[in-house]
Amino acid sequence: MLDYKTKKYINKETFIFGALAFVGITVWILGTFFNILRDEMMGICLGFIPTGVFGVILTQRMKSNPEKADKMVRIKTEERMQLIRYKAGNFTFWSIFLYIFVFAILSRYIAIGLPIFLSITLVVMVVVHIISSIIYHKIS
Amino acid sequence: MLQNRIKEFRQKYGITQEEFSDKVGVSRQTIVALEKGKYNPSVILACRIAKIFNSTVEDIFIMEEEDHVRL
Repeated sequence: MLDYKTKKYINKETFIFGALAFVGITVWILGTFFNILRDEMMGICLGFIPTGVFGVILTQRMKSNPEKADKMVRIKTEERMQLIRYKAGNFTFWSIFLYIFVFAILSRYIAIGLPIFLSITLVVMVVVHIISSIIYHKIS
Repeated sequence: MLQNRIKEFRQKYGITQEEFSDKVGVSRQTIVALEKGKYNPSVILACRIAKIFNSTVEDIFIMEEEDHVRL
């Protein structure tokens, strides 16, 4: 029998991943059948649909092993993890703030377009967040 | 950081970090961080730990002199 907290977590995750899959499918329909930004839409749906579908499948599979699911949810929602996530998020925010600030100052010397800059920023954001999470895991 | 006697109490009660983390409702990594004095627990967690050891929070968590508020 699943714990109330675990049930809530599974429902929340299912909703989020379901929404991702829904957005992916909507974008695919808009691109394929209505020809709106076809290439860009294909790129978005290739990212969203697999993430959403696999997310829903994996989340639903948690129900088959309640004990393991309870433990997983407990670890994910415990106070130290929340603190680490908060600290890592804060660190990432200010790092990206600084990165954009520096880029804005140096923009006249760096000849890259906005789409490429935004793509690089997304990657940098994820990398900084992962690294800061690992560091905060080690030190706290 | 707050000093504590969690490891001492845990060993006295003969329970592993894994068992203790299950009882308290946190991950084993949190217990490791607590025992090393790297992490200060919340009031709820401190109270839960004290209850498991049939003791008081003051017995388990030791405040440094500079942490005391002068009244």
